[in-house]
Amino acid sequence: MVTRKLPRLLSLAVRLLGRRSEAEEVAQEALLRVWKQAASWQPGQARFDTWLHRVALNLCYDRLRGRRDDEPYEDDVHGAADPAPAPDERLQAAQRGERVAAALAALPARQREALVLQYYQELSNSEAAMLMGVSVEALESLLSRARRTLRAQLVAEGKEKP
Amino acid sequence: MTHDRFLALLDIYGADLGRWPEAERAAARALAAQGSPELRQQMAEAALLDGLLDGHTVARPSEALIQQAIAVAASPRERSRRNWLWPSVGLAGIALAGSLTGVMAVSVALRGTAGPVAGDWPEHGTAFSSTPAELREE
Repeated sequence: MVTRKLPRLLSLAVRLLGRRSEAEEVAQEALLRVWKQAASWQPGQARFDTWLHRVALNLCYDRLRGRRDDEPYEDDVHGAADPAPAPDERLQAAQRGERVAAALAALPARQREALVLQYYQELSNSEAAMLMGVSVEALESLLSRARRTLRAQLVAEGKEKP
Repeated sequence: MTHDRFLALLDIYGADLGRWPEAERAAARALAAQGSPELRQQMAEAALLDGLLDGHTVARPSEALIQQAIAVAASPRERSRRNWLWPSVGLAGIALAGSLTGVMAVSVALRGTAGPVAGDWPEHGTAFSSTPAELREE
């Protein structure tokens, strides 16, 4: 279970928090809470994966609420980097990833959350909407705005930096 | 599905129709197969953004982090007695984590010999003794 769920939780937390070290703590804490609360889980109400996301999301919200405004969003998002000099292709891929991470970080929080849950975590629109406490229509509006912003920023950058 | 509806969903879910709401996929595929030049262009632009988004990867958890998570889960009381931040865990803690991991790994391995599907939750025992059957399906 840990080997299957920890990467998924870590991806969620890294993309929402932007800090690898903090995301690792959240992912572990989420797993621990799930184990502790397994007996109280109501199987008819949600898939286990959705429930796991609920727990992790709450932990992420707590972290985000506790942040000062002047704290940087992002540090070492990609985690353990290869210390060896990267070939050009890998370097470019890393740079593209960093640009996306920065653009994601700059999105309004709810748009980022919608995109992370639906696109990166591959939850269904109804699951993502339920986790965010919004209607599917509201989720779609958030997704549409997020993608437009990212397209305007990233595709334009991509054309400038082939 | 109308042309406008297709473009609206493309704007929301991107170019991979597999990510679209299930109820919309068949109609969307049928419309896409007609090959309208405008749809093709819009899909190509959406695919470009999808490709960029896919470039934002998150490194998998280190083996040390996985083992730490297993060890902590195996012994929640141990967790409460020490600082949660694992980088601060000393050598003694690492040794304890390794021992617990070993115990758990053996337990899971032995249980796996009787289980029908690899990766399922254990039927009984260890830290998951109160796990409902539905949890094991995930």
